[in-house]
Amino acid sequence: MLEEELVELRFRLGDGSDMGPIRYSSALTIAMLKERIVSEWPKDTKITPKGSTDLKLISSGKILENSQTIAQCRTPFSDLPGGLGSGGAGGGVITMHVVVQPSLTKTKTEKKVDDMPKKVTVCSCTIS
Amino acid sequence: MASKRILKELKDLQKDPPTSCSAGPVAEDMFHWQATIMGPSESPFTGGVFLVTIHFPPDYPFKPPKISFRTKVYHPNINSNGSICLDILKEQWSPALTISKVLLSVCSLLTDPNPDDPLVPEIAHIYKTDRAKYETTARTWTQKYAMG
Repeated sequence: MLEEELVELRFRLGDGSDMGPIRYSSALTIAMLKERIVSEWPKDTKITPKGSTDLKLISSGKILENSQTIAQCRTPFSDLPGGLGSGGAGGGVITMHVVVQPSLTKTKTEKKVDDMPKKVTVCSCTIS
Repeated sequence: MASKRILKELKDLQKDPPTSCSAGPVAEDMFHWQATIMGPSESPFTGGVFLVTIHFPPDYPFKPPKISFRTKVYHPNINSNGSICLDILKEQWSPALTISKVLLSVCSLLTDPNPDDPLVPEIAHIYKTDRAKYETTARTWTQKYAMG
């Protein structure tokens, strides 16, 4: 059986801190990778993703598609140390940026509910 | 000469990229890059991911790279074509500058616009006279175009 190619990834978070480096299979999809990131997310950060849909992964200036595998995200100059696809023992660590963008749909719905005019019940009694 | 310098910059960027930006070649052409700029947290662009294209001239680094936004930005120094009014991309360019430093300067420009040298005078006027309106519109555009 062929040995699975492992790629070493480091994730750079918005506050400048890093997660990893951690080794992953190059056959792993970006969607699966996002799930892993959410489950391993550090506790002491200001912004925490609620789920994988809150995340965007960026490598070499490109926003990575959920359906892509890590291997498919390789850069054209993958012979460079750290270039995606140069994985395995010889390859360097690949740094990916992680952006947390909380789902806007939920926020918008919540706003709509809050913006609804509240029914005020006024006492109709008159003092004669 | 240019390709050697660009390759060195790419290596450095891949080794230790800045927190707020990422960049690399689009395809096999070393002179054409794509980049992303993450909206600075202390600005109305926070949470947004802005796509940028970079074209290196054949005589780089003696001439500046051409940088433009592909994502719409509400900013006094960035127009509807994505052109950026930034001195280091024109007369203040120096061969000592790198693409990493330039992208960080663009990030700084997002936080601190220069309304006295505007590319979009209408936005510059709003920035100077009604800061709250400027920030609200910039936030709206960020949610609409940079958080898709």
